[in-house]
Amino acid sequence: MGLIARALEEQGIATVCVVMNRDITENVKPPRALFVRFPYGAPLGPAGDGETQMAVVRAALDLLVSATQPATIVTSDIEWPE
Amino acid sequence: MLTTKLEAAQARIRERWYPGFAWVVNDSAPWAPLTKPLAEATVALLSTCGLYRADVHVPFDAWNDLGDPSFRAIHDDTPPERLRIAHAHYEHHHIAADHEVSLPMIHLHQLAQEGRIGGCYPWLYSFMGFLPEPRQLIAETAPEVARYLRADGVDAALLTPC
Repeated sequence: MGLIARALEEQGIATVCVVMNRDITENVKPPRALFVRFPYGAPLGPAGDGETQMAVVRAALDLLVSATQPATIVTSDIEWPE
Repeated sequence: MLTTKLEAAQARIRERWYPGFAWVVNDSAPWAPLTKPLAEATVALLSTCGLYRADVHVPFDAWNDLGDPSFRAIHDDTPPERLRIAHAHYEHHHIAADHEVSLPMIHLHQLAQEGRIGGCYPWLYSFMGFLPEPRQLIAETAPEVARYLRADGVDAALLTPC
């Protein structure tokens, strides 16, 4: 996914990736990445939990605005609901 | 720089699926600044969760050991029941029940209504994230999608995994 972000960025489109593996992201280096510590298969939150999903989407969009340098990775503080 | 964990995963992928596999390691990242306020920006959504339209598309080649670098364009007026997943490398339990866990079309439209983003680009570009051989994606298919988005005036993109 980081590879797709890089291609978009080369065409002048600002991107933000939600990522689930920090090690891979550090190597691929997409321009802006929000690292979520959620299980594979549910990157934005559990099925049916629109609140958590929306919080992750908002956090990713915030990063689109706040990141100032390439290869920024921010760890999300949004918790997986119990 | 590969961590010990990534080295081990690389060895496993070479053994099980593709002897030529190597993690992509880049020294730097490209950078396109957001050139207008987010509240005025057209935002596209892309996902690597392997979703496709059952009534229009050929499924992704989910069981190919090299992966599948192609993409499917899904219009955001597509009825959710027409979407299927072709991806053999993650648990589908959440996304089968609720596509928003990886393709947040409804959430993005809500943010457009709120004025947080300027608007939603109506085509969602879907990829299949298992891709031990990424050369065609890097050289052809990802740049192709980037050109389409640029031609249609997309300012920003949210990319989601699975």
